[in-house]
This record gives sequence, C-alpha cells and structure tokens, in this order.
Amino acid sequence: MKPERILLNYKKNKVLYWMILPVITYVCIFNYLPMFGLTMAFQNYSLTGGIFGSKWIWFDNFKDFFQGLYFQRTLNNTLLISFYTLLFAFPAPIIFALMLNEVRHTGFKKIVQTVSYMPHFISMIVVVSLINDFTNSNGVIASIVATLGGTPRSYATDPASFRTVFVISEIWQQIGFNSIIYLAALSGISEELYEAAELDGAGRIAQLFHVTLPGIASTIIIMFILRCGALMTVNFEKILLMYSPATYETADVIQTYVYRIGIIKQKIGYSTAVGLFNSIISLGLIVLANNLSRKYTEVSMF
Amino acid sequence: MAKRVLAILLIGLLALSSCVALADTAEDRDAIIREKAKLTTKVERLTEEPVTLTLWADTKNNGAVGTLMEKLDDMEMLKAMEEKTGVRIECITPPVGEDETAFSLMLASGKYPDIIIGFHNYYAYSGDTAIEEGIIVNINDLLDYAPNYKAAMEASEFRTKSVITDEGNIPYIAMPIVADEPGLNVGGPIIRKDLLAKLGMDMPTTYDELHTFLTRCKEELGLKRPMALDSNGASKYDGLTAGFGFHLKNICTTHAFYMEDNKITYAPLTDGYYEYVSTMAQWYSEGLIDPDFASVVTFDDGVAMITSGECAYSTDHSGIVGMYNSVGKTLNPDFEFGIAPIPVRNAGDKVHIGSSSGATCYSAAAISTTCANPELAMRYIDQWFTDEGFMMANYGVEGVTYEMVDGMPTYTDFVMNNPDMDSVAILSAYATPVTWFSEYVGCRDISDATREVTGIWDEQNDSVGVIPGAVTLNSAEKETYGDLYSEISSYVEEMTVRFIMGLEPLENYPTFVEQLRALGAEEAIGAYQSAYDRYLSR
Amino acid sequence: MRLRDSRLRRIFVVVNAILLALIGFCCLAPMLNVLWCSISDPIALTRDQGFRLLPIFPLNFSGYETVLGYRNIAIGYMNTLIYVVLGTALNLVLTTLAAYVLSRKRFAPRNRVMLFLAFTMLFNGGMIPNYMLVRNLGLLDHYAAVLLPSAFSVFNLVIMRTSFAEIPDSLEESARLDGANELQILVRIIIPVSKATVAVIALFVAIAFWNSWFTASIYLQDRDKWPLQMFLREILITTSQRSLSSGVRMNTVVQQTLVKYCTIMVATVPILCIYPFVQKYFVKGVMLGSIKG
Repeated sequence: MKPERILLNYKKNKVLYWMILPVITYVCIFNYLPMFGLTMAFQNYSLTGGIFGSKWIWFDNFKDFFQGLYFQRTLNNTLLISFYTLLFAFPAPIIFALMLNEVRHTGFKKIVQTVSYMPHFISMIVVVSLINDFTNSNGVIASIVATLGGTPRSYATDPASFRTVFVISEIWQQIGFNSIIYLAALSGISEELYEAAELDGAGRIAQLFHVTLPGIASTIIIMFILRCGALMTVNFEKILLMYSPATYETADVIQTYVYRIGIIKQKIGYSTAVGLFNSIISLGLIVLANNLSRKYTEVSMF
Repeated sequence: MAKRVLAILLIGLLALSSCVALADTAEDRDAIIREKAKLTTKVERLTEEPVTLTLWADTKNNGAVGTLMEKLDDMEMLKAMEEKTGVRIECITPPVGEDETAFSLMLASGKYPDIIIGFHNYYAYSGDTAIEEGIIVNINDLLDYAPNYKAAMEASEFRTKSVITDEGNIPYIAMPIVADEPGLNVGGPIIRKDLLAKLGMDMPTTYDELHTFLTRCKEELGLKRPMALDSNGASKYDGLTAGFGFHLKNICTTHAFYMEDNKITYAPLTDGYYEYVSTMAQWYSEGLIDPDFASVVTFDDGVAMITSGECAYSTDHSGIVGMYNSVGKTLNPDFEFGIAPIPVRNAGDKVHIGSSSGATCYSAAAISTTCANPELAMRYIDQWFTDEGFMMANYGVEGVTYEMVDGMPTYTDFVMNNPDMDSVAILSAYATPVTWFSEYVGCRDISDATREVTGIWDEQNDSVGVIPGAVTLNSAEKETYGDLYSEISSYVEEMTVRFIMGLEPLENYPTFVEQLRALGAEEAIGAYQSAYDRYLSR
Repeated sequence: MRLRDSRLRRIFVVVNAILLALIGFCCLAPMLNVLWCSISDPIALTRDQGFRLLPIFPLNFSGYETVLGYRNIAIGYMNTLIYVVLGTALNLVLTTLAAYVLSRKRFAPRNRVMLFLAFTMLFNGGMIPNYMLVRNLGLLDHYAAVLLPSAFSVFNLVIMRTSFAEIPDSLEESARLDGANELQILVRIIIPVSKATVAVIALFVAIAFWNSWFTASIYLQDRDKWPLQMFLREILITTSQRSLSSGVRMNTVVQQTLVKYCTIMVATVPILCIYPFVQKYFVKGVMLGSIKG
C-alpha cells in the first residue's frame, strides 16, 4: 500500500492509529525484540561481553547439540510426549462432549459438567503434588497394584511410567474444560439434520458419523491445528515440576533441556540455539498441519 | 621405599596441618575461647542513621528456617548486631532446593546483593575470575577497614596462605576455625539399634554384615525401606561410599575429587565406584533400598519416612539422632537410632576419606561490586571478628543458649539436650549458622555424649585422602574445571541413579566411563592436579 | 424427541450415565481426598498412607491454624491478587483497543497489522532471549517482570476481534451520528455488546495469572513479590530430603503431611468456590465464539 494512502487514512482516522499504538509497541518490544536475541545462538555468548563483545561461532552451537549426548533423547521425548498427548488427550474431551450430549436429564448433566471443570482450575503445582502423592511407592496406584497382585514400586521415579502418568494427568485436568467448545459446537447442529437422517433410516451410530461428527468437524480441525502449534512446547512447565534425574530418559524434552542448560548452567549461546531449533520445528509443524488441512478439508487457520 | 614412606608422611602431615589452625590440643582451643570471652574488643556503632545491607544466603543446611524462625532475617544475632551497629541486614534466600538456579539467576541479573554467603560454593570459576569479571570486590583493598579480621587472619601462616590466591588477590572473607580436633567426623551412618536387638545381631561393620541386617529387616520385620539413600544415589557424609575407597561429597568441597598416593583422582573413574554402584544396584533389586529415593519429593520429608519406622539405616548428621528418637518414640516406644560404624569391605579396614570438620572451610562470604558502600560492609563483617562478635556468633544469648562456667562459655541444655531440635539448628537461630562469617568454634554442635559416640567414625578414619582446603585452582585451571565439571557431574548423577535403580544395565558401565573421559574428566583432574602441585611447591 | 426408546438405547443411556458418573467421580475424588486428609488425625495420617473417602477421626484442625498463620501464604495471596487484577486489566485494555481498531474496516492497514501481530503466534525468540530482554530492560525483581511479558496475547486478540467484527455497523453509525468519538464507541457500545466474549477472555487471562509460577521463578529473586504458587512450590514440591532434615520441631514433623494438605486446600478453595458461578459466563462466551468458527 502506498504511503500516501496511509497518510490520508491516518489523517481521517487519527484516533484509531493512536489506539493501536500501545499494542504495536508492546509486540515490537516483547515479541520482536527477543527475536534479535536469537543472534546469541550463533555466538559463544558471554554476559559481560554482550552481543557485540561475544565471539561468533556460527553453527558450532547447533553442531554441539546435534552431535551431543542429549539430542536424540530430547527430540524423541518431545515428539513422543506430544504425540501421545495428541493421540489420547485430544479426543478425550470430544468423546466426553458426545457422551454428555446424550444425557437428557439436565440436572445430572449439569452436575457432571460442573464437577468435570474442577481439575482445570486447580493450579499446576497442586496437580503435580497430587500426582507425586499418587505415584510414589506408598500411593494409591501402588496399593491398587498390590491388591491386584502385582509388585508395587515407585512410579514417580520410573521412566517407563512417566509418559503414561503425564498424559493421564493431562486428560484428567482438561477433559471437562476442553469439552465446552465441543458442546457448544454440538448445540449448533440443527435438529432438522437429525430428523432428516432418521427419516432416511439412519440408526444412532450412523447419525453419529454422518451428522454429529461432520457438524463439529471444523471445530475439531481448528482445535487440532492449534494443538499442533503447541506440540513442541509440550507443557514443559509441568514436566519441569514432575521430572527428576531418574526420569530424564523419558521426561527430558527440548524445553526442559533449554531451561537446565540456559537458566541453571548459564550456557546462553548454546541454549538459545537449542531453543531456536525448537521454534523452527514448531513453526514447520503448524504450517504443515495448516496446509494439509487446507488441502484436504478446506478448513484452515490461515 | 623410604621415599614412599616420606611421601605418605608428608601427605599425612599436610592433611593434619590442614586441620590444625591455631591450636594443637583442646586445651589450647579452650584457652583461646576463654581469652575471647573476656570481651577485650567490642562491637562498635558504625552509623548513626540506619543503613541496610542485602545479604544472600542459602538455607540448605539451615534447620532453623521454617521451624524456629520464618526467615533468616529473624535471627537473634542479626537483630542484636543491628542494635549495636545500626546496620540492618536484609536477607535474600533462594527457594528451597533451587539454590544453584537462584545463584545463576542472581549472577545473570547483574544486580548482586551486597554480601553473598557461600559464593565459592556455587561459582564455577575461581575467585580471581570473579574479581576480574567485576562481580566481587578484592578484599585486599578493604583490609584497612577490618582490623579485627586482619588480626584474625594473620594469627597463623596457614590462615594467611589460605585466603590469598596465587595472583595476590583476596576474593573471599574466610571463616577460620578457632581450633579443632583433627578427624572429628560429624556425620555418618545411623542405625535402628532396637531392631538390631530384636534380631539379635551385633552392630554391622562390613558391607556383608550390613546386607544381612537389611535383608533380615525386610524379610523378618517387614520393613519397606530398610535403607535410605540420597536422591543422587550417594549417601550423606559419605557414610556408605567411604568404605569403597572414595568420596563423593564433603562438607566444604562439593566434588568427588580426592587424593590417592599423592595424585588427585576422580571418584567415578575408579574401580571402587563401580563396586559401590553395583553393590547398591544389587541391594536395590533385592528391595533393600527405599524405592522412592530418587524422586525429587519423597512422600513426605525424609524425616517423616524415618520416624514412621520404615527405615532401619541411613546416613546423617550425628546431632539428628536425638531428634529422630524423640519423634519416633511417639509412634513406637522402642524406636531408637544410634551411630553405626562406616561399613568397610573387610573388618578392621580403615577409611581414608571421611567427612572431617577439621578441614578449614575456605571461604564464607564475598562482597559484591554493586554494593553501594563496600567499606561499610567490610566494617560490619569485621564486627563479627571482635571478641564480642565472636561470642555472639558462636554462643548466642547469655542465659539462654550459653552460660559462663569458670570463665568458659558453655552451651546450656536448651541447646545440647533439646528434645525438639538439634543443637546446630538452635544455634542457627540464636547465634549464626555454621557457614557465616566469624571465627568459628569448631565443635559447637557436638556434646560430650555425642563426641564419645562419633568417636567410632574418628577411629576408622585416617583422613589421608582429604585434599587440603588450601589447594586452590587458579583462573586458567578453574576455567577448564568449571566448564567441564558441571556437565560431568550432572551426567554422573543421572547415570548413578540409573545404574542403582536398574534402569541401566551394569554391562554398560564401561560405556559410562568412556563417556566421562569423552566429556573431559581427565582434563578436569589435570587442572586439579596442577593446582595441587602448585600448593606443594608454595 | 429424536429417537425411539429401544432396549438397546436404554442400556446405552444407563451405561453412558454410569461412565459419566465415574468420570465425574474421578475428577472430584483427588480434591475430596485432600479435603478429608486436611482435617484428619496427623499421626494416623503419617502412618496409613492411601486414599481416603472419609476423614480419619479424631478430626484435627490444627493444620489450618498453622497454615493460616504462615506469613508467606498471606504474602503470596496478596501478590497473586496484584498480578491477577493488574494483569487482567492490562490485558483487557490492550486487547480491546487493538481488537476494536482491527475490526474497523476504515482502518486501512488492518490486514497488514493483523499479519504483523499474528506472526508472533507462530514464532518467537524463546525462553533465553526473553529472559535476556527482561533483564536488559531492568525489570528483574519487579512486579513488571511478571506482568509485562504476559500483558498481551495475540490469541485473545483474534477471538475478540472476530467478536467485535460481528457487531452490525449500524450500531456504530448511530453512535457516531450522536457525536461519539472512537473511545466512547468502544467503551459504550462495542464492549457492552460483546460482554460475553470480553468476560471469557478476562477469565482466561485471570486464570493464567493465578496459576503462573514459571516467570516468577526466573525473574523474581525477591520473595516479597512472589505469587502464591511459588510458595506452594516450595512447600509442596521441593521440600525434599534436602531441606528440613535437621532441627525440625517434633510436632511439626508429625504434622508435615497434614500441613501439606491444608496448604493445598487454603490455596485452592477460593478458586473452587468461584468457578461454579462463573462457568455460565464462559460457557456462553465460548459458545458464541465457537459458532463463528
């Protein structure tokens, strides 16, 4: 757009331009400025030297990461945990919403709904503390295993159980709250469609597949794309609270590694490089998901 | 042959000399304390208008915070000192368990608190580097403001040598020990004596005997966690590891370097370490070790686990036994923990590395460059080195925590025989915590009764392997060491836990050692070795 | 009625109801357990671990006494309130301003600006550059360090903009004829009409601030500014073998577990009390938002 047109537009709508200035400034400072900080990824950054005083080592940081001890593990864990979350925790609210939708007794429905929202409002710290209670060798899980005849052990420090525990806790926390949007979408499907389907002789199951699901399909897809965007960040704060050196093998994801190396060990250049790698993959995934979706379903975010 | 004997003697002498500061005997030590009790030098008023200094200190080993006092600022002595000097101290404490992170963040922020306690514990590089980088002040420049501290440090050549680096700087304010009895071990294994009696067993002295005891505890008494282990797979005060010939942690040093035959060795590279790890792995698979040991949070505090009766053997500070017993007895009247000897491979073996409070703690505090008034900070710290400050820091409040008996300050029953708290914690609240700045009375935490009992550990330990605290790395060495060590130590910690828990098969141990070498363990050793050689030639 | 009541259908309804009840129970049970534990007898609590459906008698409220007297909890609550209130206000102001402008067709560069803003959803500098930014701005150890980095989210902007754009132009036009300026239109017309959406976003933001702990952990050294979650983290999660292994008072040791549960209750009960009342707003708001797709 030509600058003269903008100037004209500005003269006519001065206030609008001023109203949006704070947000633009904010985004410039807090979103775009740090992107310049990504140059640290290519340096052997030192705090006292700053950006201009630190040595440029170009791709050495990346090389160290890719050839290092922890590359495979962190990448694996990031992808696996995300994948399992997507596989199990994504459909759960949908199924829950579908189940709720079948209930006609409004009192019962309301109670179940209200109770199901509760876990979402409990803070992460409390949830992890509850998880620790459950999974240590004295906890509920262990006693259930014992009564079923197995040998109880500590699940909190068991790397093999980590992903399971993590995904289940995600489901527990979000199943109720995330179902809201699907319930909303379900209520948007017009009754006539169901009646028409019934007239055509479709049973309940057929109705599910031909009326219900297509009706909320666009919602599901948008939510899915959004989830893909969060794939690489994988709720790392929760992992940070849950993991320990015993479970690093399956719990250590890229973001938690960045935290340990960057914040605790202060290897700033290196950790920025790892973080950059993470962001690029994340961007790639979301673009991929979006484009695939646009191609096959005509629904997309952008 | 003669050369070898000489070398061993030399090492022994050096080790001993690292323990002895000013006095050779307990009588000398008492004489010094008596002299100080006469209060010849007093605390003086430093400023008319109130001034505040910020102070960073961790509460890792401070049992008083959270129980006797809500935060460090509530320390009696801080308040008393404030009244006398006019200087108020505002304490900044890192979140519990996050000391390393908090220190890094503090460094990264560029805004440092005025006084930082334990700086050298967390800082990866040398004191010289810290001065160069402009983080802390060279104490050398401030000595004129601290006549008492200066006198204290010049009282012995050993002390003077300890604090000056090779480049002539004084990065830290030291915490010299008045005098101490070499080889006084404050921590080690503790055992449920009532269970021993129940099983009709003698005190286990070897690993095999210990294994039998633990197995019987599990099978006959149904204990779920016969032995407790630290979350990094080691044991506090090296109680369990010392018998295999190496040590992992010490009070003042935080790394697994020790001395063998005049050479610096790194524990994980030795055969002894493999023995330890495989033994523990075996015991873990037999269910003899607390299954939750590795988690960041145990189902409760480790204390609650022990007092609930599920644990028969642990390693801890000797002063805590009394407390465990008084709590445990409320649930089980027979409950009784007592001191156990450090297990060894064969009966009668000596342990070469023990946790000896005889080693001088090198440094206590640093003054940062962002302190607005470093002279005042120095003068404030100097007050703690006056006679009055000495009494306050070590003994606390007259009538409450100590009484004068024949001109000698003596701890009261409130401190020594308190059923609710152990003496170190009480003194941390009424006097000052162990690692703060003052001339420190070496055995404030041990009553005669406990000393009798901890004598067991002293007998076993000949401290030959302890690296003298005065061995310091210079800038170049610290840089090599600092860069490598953090990565190596995290790797060791993770792998140790995995081996013990059986997550990593022991066949992979050689790969572990190789990886250590690949990460640069040998170079780290080299750095330490050259520092030691330099110390010898000093 | 869109179905016949067949036997199969009835079985399905029953099974469905049972499953839902089970899910509901699972959602409720852990907190119920905490509730009962917090008033149970501490010695029995330490001895028998396990799930409780009912408290262990004799009832004991001393845990609450301890926790409520704990100064840090009060400090934490105060700070969290500050963060939630200021943070939500900040977010609402920025988001409504931007959403309004970007929903006006007469704002020529609106698509360009939207793109400029939306890109930040796809890509950002990452943890370390963000930390360096806050550090270099001198915000470390200030309330602003927690407030500013989370003061605005493009995601919320998109939702609000869509909602604003739905409002018929006629409303705005008539307001302009009455002589209202931009701000007045925004505040008097647009926001009241989109009440539900604004409320939903305010709620999302408030909850996010209530729960946040990570930014506080890396930006705030000063305990006096810590939000409640940071103290909780210390008490509940990092109280490990490291800390109070010596010097612990006898009754405190036995009370350890009890205090833990009471702390959880004290920290969570307020939010649990509020959310049932507020849920109808966000249900409505999400519904409206979702129908737009």
